[in-house]
Amino acid sequence: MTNAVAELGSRSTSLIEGLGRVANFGGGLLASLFRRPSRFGFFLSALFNTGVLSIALICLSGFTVGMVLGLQLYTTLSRFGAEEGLGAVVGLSLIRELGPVLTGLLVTGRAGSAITAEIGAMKATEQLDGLRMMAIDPMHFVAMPRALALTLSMPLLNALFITLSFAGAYAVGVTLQGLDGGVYLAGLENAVRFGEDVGQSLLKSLVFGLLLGLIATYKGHACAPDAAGVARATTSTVVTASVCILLADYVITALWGV
Amino acid sequence: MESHSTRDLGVGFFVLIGLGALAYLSLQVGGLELGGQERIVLRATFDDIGGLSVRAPVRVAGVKVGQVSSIDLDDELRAQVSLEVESDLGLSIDSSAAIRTAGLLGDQFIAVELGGEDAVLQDGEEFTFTESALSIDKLIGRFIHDAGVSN
Amino acid sequence: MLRMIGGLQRPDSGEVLVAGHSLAQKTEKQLWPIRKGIGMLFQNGALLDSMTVLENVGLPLREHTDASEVSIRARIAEVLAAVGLEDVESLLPRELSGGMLRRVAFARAIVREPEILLCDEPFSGLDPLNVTRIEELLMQLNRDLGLTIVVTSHHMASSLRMADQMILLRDGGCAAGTPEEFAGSDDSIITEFLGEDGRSFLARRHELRDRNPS
Repeated sequence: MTNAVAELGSRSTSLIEGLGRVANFGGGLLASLFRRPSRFGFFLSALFNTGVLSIALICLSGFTVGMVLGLQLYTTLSRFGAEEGLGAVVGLSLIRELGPVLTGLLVTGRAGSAITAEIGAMKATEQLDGLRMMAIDPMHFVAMPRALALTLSMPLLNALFITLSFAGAYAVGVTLQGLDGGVYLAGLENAVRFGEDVGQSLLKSLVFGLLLGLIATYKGHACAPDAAGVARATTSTVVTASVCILLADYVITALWGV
Repeated sequence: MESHSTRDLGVGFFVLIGLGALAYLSLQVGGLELGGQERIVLRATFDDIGGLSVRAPVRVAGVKVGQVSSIDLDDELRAQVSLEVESDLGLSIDSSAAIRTAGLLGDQFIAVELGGEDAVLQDGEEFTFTESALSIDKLIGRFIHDAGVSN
Repeated sequence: MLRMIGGLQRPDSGEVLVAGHSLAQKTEKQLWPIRKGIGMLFQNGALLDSMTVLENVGLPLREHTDASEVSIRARIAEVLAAVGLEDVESLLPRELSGGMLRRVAFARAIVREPEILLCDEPFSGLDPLNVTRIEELLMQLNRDLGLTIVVTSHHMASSLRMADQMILLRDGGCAAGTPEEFAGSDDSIITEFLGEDGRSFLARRHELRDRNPS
């Protein structure tokens, strides 16, 4: 009995310790953002890897999700004779929830894991130590450009996802099911408001990008410096970031509505 | 240093289409207004606003010229509605603001009908003539009541 | 051990003094001035694998000096020539052989003319030709530039040949001395460690002494 309690206690303290380390790392990351501008080239390369290379995935997924949404909603709405509402429902659900969350999860799997693996491999081959010995801060040099790239590319990818989803739903609702294109677009445009909906979407995607950037770079830095450690850290990034994104989604949704 | 033309091109393309999508969502879909249009605020008082909500459109001859910016209760417990409209409309001071329903069961909006006077409503001024919302159930109730009375 | 000198690891007890400066209680930032006078050669080179040889070797210069691009290029060419490498500047680390990689890392470690050079197993995995090359390079740097060099190695022959001072760490204890003292030691652990190399080293030394009795 006492063993279980002790176990709980030690687990809790190590959890808090872990959070403390992450917070420490995050603080350092933020600080390095405002210091002497780091190499722009690194930031661009990171942006390329997270953004450009994700375009295909995001666009394809977006269009597909749009199609599914269009199909499901059209079927359901026509039961109540409310097909004209397709544009509005598609628009609101995608912009407020599905867009940022799905984009967040997709980017986590694709770019987040890649970044953790990359930094972890650098740790395992002593490259990070090498930087430290050259009096170069690995956080500023390696982690910060990548975290920043993740944060900034998320809203852009989110916008792409949503736009393509609209197209997907259009393809199903209008082209396949015969809903009037004008009605679809009008419903979409009338229901969506910048302040409440698009703004919320933007905020969410920025926060998700920030969380992912922090988690992915931290886990890369903190992993055990061997192949198994890197692998563990990579999967851990995907799991942790996904959960955090979903939690953050709830928090933001709740607060935004207030 | 080496040239990174593929990389730079790729990033430029990505940022371009990303911002483009964002712009589309914000401006076209979301209805964000960029600068330009000067607005003035006019007030109207109603006995019953029905289902009118903030951001409901204000229409002149069916065309949207602004939106409801706030709804409050005044000292006499009547509904005070503030309307944000384009400043260059030149609505005469005897214009009326009425709460109408789009279609039979649609959302409610403010319909402005022009009067005949030369003087125009300025920023902060109030509509003299207003029409409260017609609610279907009240109408039906009155109909039934009238029908009952005539028997 | 080397990691403690470089400040990458903290000792559980005791103190680390580098050039008279204690490393205790120093933050990463505070360690930088000390580290700028140290060059470190890692066992696997620790070159950044996304950057070319040119970018890797030039990194310390670009980050910490205001030198012009021309002078940086010149210096890079200089150190690469010193380690016996040519035409490698545009290659990536994964395109280099083990020996070449080690030498590029070497070049990077000395590019800013440090006062102290730390080498982690510089001879491991190298063929005899490269071993001799690196050995000569280390001796030359020590002689001509007065560089203090700390080497961790299991390569007994080189160690005995090069060292002014040797330290053997084993089972939580350590023994220190000159190569002669080590080779001539009666301690069974030391003789076991030095093995054949120790004996031939001693034999050669006796030979030299016999030939030059003065």
